[in-house]
Amino acid sequence: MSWEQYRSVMERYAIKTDDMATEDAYFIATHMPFSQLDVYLGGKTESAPKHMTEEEIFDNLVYNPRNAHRLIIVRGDNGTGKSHLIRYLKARLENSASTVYDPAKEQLIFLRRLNNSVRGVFSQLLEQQVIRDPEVEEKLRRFVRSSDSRDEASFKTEILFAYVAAVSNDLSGSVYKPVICRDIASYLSDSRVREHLLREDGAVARCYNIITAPSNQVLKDTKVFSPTDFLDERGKSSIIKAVKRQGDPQASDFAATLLEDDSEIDRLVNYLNRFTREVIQRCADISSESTKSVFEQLRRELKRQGRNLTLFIEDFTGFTGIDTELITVLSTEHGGDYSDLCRVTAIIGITNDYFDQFRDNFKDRVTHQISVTDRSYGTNEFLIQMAGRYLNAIYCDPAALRDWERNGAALEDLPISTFRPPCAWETVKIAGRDVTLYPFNSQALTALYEGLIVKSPRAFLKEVLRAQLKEYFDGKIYGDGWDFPLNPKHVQMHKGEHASAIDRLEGLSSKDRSRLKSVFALWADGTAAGVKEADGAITFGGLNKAFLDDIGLSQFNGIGAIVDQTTGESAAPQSVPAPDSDSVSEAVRPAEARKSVSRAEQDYIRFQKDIDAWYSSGAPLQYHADYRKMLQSFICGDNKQCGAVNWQDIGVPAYVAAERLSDISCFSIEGQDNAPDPEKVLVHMERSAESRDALQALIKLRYFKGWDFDGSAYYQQRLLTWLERNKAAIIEKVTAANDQQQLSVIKWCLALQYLRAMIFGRRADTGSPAEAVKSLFVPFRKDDQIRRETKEWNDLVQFVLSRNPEFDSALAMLQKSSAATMGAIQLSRDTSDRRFYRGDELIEAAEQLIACGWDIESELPADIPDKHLLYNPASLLKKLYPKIRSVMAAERKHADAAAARLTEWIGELNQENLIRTLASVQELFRTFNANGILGSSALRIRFEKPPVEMARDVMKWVTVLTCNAEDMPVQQLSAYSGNALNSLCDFLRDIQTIAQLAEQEEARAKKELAKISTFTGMEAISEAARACMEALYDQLEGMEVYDDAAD
Amino acid sequence: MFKTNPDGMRMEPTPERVLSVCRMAARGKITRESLRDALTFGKNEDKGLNQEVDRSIDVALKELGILKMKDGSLELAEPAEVIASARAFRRYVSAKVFYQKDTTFFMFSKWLIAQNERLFSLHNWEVMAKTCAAENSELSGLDENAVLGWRFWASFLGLGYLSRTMFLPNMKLRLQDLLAAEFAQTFRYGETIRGTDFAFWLSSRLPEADISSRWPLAVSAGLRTLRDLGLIRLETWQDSSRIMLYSVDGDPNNDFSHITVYEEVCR
Repeated sequence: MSWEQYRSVMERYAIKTDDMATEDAYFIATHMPFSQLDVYLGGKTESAPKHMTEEEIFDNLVYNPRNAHRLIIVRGDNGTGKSHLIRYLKARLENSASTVYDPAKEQLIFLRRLNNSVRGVFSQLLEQQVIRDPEVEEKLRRFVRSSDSRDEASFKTEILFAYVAAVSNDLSGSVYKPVICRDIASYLSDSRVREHLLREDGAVARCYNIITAPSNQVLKDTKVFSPTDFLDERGKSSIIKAVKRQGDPQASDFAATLLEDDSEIDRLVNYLNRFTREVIQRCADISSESTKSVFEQLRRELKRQGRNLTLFIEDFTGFTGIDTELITVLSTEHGGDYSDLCRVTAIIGITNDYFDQFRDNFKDRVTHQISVTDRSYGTNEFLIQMAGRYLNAIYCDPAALRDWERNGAALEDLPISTFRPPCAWETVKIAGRDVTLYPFNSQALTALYEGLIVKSPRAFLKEVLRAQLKEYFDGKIYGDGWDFPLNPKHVQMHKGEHASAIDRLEGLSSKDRSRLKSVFALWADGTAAGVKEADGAITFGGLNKAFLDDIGLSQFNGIGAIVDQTTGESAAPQSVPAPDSDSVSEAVRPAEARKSVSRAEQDYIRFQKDIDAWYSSGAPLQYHADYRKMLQSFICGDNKQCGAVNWQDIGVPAYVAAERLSDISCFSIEGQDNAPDPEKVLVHMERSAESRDALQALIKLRYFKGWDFDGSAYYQQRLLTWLERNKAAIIEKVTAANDQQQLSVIKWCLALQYLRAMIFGRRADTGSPAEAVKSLFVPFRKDDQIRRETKEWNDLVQFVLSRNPEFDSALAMLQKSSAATMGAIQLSRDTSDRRFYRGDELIEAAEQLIACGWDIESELPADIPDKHLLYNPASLLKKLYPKIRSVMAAERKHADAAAARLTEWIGELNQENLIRTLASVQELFRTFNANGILGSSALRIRFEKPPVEMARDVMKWVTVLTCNAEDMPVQQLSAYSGNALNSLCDFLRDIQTIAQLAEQEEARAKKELAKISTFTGMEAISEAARACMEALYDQLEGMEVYDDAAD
Repeated sequence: MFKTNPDGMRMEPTPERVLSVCRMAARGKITRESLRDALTFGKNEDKGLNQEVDRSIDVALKELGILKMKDGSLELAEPAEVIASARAFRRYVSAKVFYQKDTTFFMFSKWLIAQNERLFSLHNWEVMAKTCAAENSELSGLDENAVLGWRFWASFLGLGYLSRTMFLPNMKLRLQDLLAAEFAQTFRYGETIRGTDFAFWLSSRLPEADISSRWPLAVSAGLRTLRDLGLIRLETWQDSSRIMLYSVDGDPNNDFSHITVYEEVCR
C-alpha cells in the first residue's frame, strides 16, 4: 500500500474525519475491550460499584433470559467510549447464537449517537418503524420534513417567542413571582436583548441546533442559555444598562434587578433553561402525551406479538425535550397493572453532566448504571494496545479486513499488516501476534496522551493518533515541509544542554530543529546522546537514526561524540544523572510529577516550562519578574558579594553601577507581559537560544543554590557568553557614555558644590585643585547671619534651598562615585566618609574648573534627559547658570548705585577723601562725648578704627564691587559672595545716620543756647561748638541726597 | 598581591585603586604623603585608610614596577600608555604577573584552573582556600582572606567571573587579550591555522594553565565563548591532530583541529 492509501484508510475508515459511524469491520478490528467498568445497582451511587469487564456486562445485564425489567444507563464524560461500548454490546448481541438473541422473540432498536438532534432521533425512530400510531407518525414525519425546508430565521424567532411565552405563562412562582415573570418576558422581548439572543452562536441558535442539527453532526451540549447571552462581547453589562435606561418600564425594572447582583444573571439563565423541554415540544408540535405514547404503543404491540424490546441508545442528548417522557415509559416495569406491556431492556448512553442535571429523573427509575471512568481506559497498556489495533487497521488492506469481518471477525484471525518500519521497532501483541507501533512508540503515546487537555479515548484517537499520523503520512507523501511530530504541549527535552545544542546546529531549519527536539522529548529518553550499538546501528537518545532519516531528519548526526557501546569509548564523559527535581515535564514523567514536590522544586519546574515555552513557541514570559531579579543579582551581586561584572575595575564607578541598576525595571526581557519603558531599560535580554540557556542557567543557579549541578559547565558558559555579548551595551547604558560622548559627572558635581558655596556666602579654598576638592567635599548650609542687599540674590538663595536635596544628591554622587569601592558595588552606598578616592579624576576635574573660572555652562550637554541620575547635576547647572547671570546684573546695578551715593557724601571715592570724612566723624563723636551727648554706641564703635584702616576696607569693597566682570557672572559671583555689597551699603547707611544725628544735635544746641544767653562765660565754648556743627551741617546740607538719607 | 609565596594577598589593593595610585603619580612627582592625602582628601589621620593606600602604592611600586621612587618622590616608571585605560593596565599587569611563577597569586591561580568542574563543589572562598592549602604544601598558609583578595585580580585579569561566593572559570578575557596583543606577531588574523600550532603558541603565553593534554575548563570555556561571539572559529578536520577541549555535554566543539582568529578579537 502507498502512503496515500494509508492516509485514506485512516481518514475514511479507521479514524474518520467526518464523524460518521465507523463501518463494522473497522469497528471490530479496532475495538479495545474495556476491562474495568464500574457497575452500580439502581440509580444511586452511594454504594460501592462492582467492577466488570464488558463481557461480564453482556452476560449479566444485556443477555436477559429471565426477562427482568432493565433500564441501564451508561455514564461517562464526553469521549470516554460510552457509544463505543453500547455499539459493541449491540453488535455482541446481534452476533450471538439464537439461544441468546432470537430476532423472532426480541425487537432490537439501535439509536445512534450521530444524528442525535430531536429531528435526528425522530428520523431514526421513523426509519426503524418504532412508531405505530399513524397520527403521531405523520406528525413526526411532518416535523422532520419541515425542519429541512423551513426558513431558519423564522424558526429561530419562533423558538425565542416560545421561551417568551413559556416565561409569561409561568404562574408557579417557584423561581420568580408571576409579576416578575411578565417583566422577564418583556425584557426578553426588548429589541436589544432579542437581537443578542438571536445572534450567531447565541442561545436561540443553540436551541435551534438541538432541534434540527444535521445528520452528520453530534450534539455535545444541551444547555441553551448561558450568562454570555446577557452580557456584551466584552463580558460587560452594557445591554442590560441600555434596557434599564431606554427599555419599556417592565423590561427596565427587570434590567435593574439584573444589575443589582452578579448572581441574578445565573438565576435567570437557570430559570430559562428549565423551559427548553417545553419549547422544543412546542416547536416540534409534539405533546408530552404523544411522545409517551410512541414507546407505550410499541411495547404493547410487541407484547401482543409475544416479543420483547431491547433498546440501545448511544447518546440520550438528542432526546432533549422528550427525555422525561421516554424515561417514564421505559421505566414502567411490565407485569401487574402493566401486563399489556412487553419487557424492555434499555441501554442508554448519557454524559455525566446530563446525568447530574437530571439526576432526579433517573435515580428511582434506573435499574443499573455502568460508569466508564479513566480506570476503564486510562492505563498505558490500554492506550498502547488501542494504538496498535488502529495502526494495524490503517496499515491493513481494507478488503482483507472486510473479508475477516464477514467471516466472523474472530480476533485470532485478524489480518496483520505487512507494513515494515525502516528499522527494528516496538510492537504490541494482538491475539499473540506482533503488531507494529510505528511511527509511535509506547513512550511517545503515553507522553502525548498525558499532554491532552481532555484525556479520553476519543481525544487520544483524534488528537494524537490521527493528528500525528496525518503529518507523518503527509511528510512521506510530499517529502518536504515535514511537520511530524506535533508537540502541542511543547514537551521539552530532559537534557536542556542537548536541546540548546540542537538550537545551535547549522544546516537545519528552525522547524527541523524544533521537530528534532520534539522527537527527543517525546519519543526518546529526553536526550540526544549518541550511541553506536553493537550491530553498528546509531541511536540518539535511544532512538534508531533510521527513524530520524525516515521522518526527514537525516541531517542530524548527533551532538558531540558518539559512544561506542562495544568499546565503551566516548569522547564525552557520561554526565551524572540529573536529580529528580530536574524533571522538565510532567508530560514525560507523569508519575514523578505527581509525587510530592517542594515549593522550590515546583517553582523550578514552573520556571523551566515558562522559559521553554517563551523560546519555543514565542509565548509571553510569565515569571519575568523573578528572572529579572536573578539577572540583576548575577550582574550586580548583592549586598556582600560581587556580581559577574567587575564594574570598578573596568572603569565604571561602583556607585554609578549600583544606583543605576538598583531598580528592577531597568532589566527587561523580550516577551515579558508588561512592556517596560524603553528609556529606563539598561539591560535587555532578547528572545534567543542563548538567552534561553542563560535564563536556564539562572534558575538552576537559584534552585541548586550554587553551580554544583549536572550540566553547570555548559550553562555557565552560555550565561557568560550572553553576558559578554551584551556587556558593552550594558556598560554604555549604565554610564550613558560611548566613544563619542563621555559625561563629566564629577566635574558637574564639583561645579554645583562650588556654586552653592558661593551663593550661600561660604568659603571655598580654590588655591589648588586638591584644596578645592577638599573644601568642596562638605555639605554647605545657608548662613542666616548673611543678609543680601538684592531681592535677586535672596531669590537665588531660596532657589538653592528649595533644590537642596538635588544639591545634596550631587554631593553624594561626587563623594561616592569618585570612591574606589572594594568588593560588592552596593558597598559604595555606605554613608561613611572614610573613602579611598580616585584622586586623579577629582583633581583633574578641579583643575579644569579652576581654569575656566567654574563656568562650564557652555560645556553642558544640549539635550539633558529628565530625572537621570547621571544627568541630574548637569540639569541643575543648566538652571543655575542663567539665574546667576541675572542675579549678578542686579547686584552690580545695586553696587553702582551705592557707590554713587557715597561719592555724593565723600566726593570721589578714594583713600584721601574717605580718611578726611572718617576723621570728621570721629571728631564729631568726640565732641558729642565732651558735651555729654548720647548717641548710638554701636555706631560709634564701628567708627573707632583708625580712618586709614577703615578707608582701606571701604576701598576694597568698592574695588570688588566695581570689578570689570560683567561678562563673567560666575567670577562676579565669587567676588560678591563675601557680601562686599552689604558692607558698602552698611557703611553708606552709617554715614547717613551720623549726618541725621548731627542735625538733630545742632538743633538742640541752638535751643539750649537761647536759654542760657545771659551766661557769658559759656559763650566762647558754645560758639566753638556751633561753628564745628555748622561746618559739618553745611557739608551735609550741600548734598542733594540729604533728604533721602534722612528718610 | 603579587609577592613571592607566601603572600597574604590582602584585599585592599584592588585593581581600581592601584590604577588610581599610578594615575596620580603620573600627574607628576609626588611624595608618598602627598599621594596619600590626594587619595583620601583630608582623612590622613585615619591610619587604616592610610595603610590601604600604602598597600596599593606598594603593589604599583614594588610588585608591578609601574612606579619608581626617585629623590623621595614617586613617579611613573613605565610609559603613560600602560595606565591610559583599564584595558591597557590589565594587559600590562597580565604580561607581568603570569610570568612570576613563584608568587602565591600565580600558584593559586594555577591550582584553581586545574580544578575544572571540581571547583563547583567548593562552595565558598573559605572552602576553596582550605582545600587548596590541604592539597598543596607550598600553599599551606593560604587562608580565606588571601583568596578574597585574589578574586578581584583574577576576575580583572580575565581568569573568570565572580558569582556570589564562587568563581566561574572562563578565560575569555585573558585569551582575548593575548589574541589581541600578541597573536598577530606570529600568525595572521582570518587565516585558519592548525590547532597544534595554536596550542604551541599559546602554551608559552598561558603559563597558569596546563594545556599540554586536554585543555582545562577555564581555557576551554573561554575559547568557546570567543567562538560563540564570532571572534574565532573552531573546526575539526578529518585525519588531523585534534586539540581536546574540556568536554562539555551539549557543546558542538569538544575538540578542534584548526582555529581561525578574526581581527575583531582586538575590539
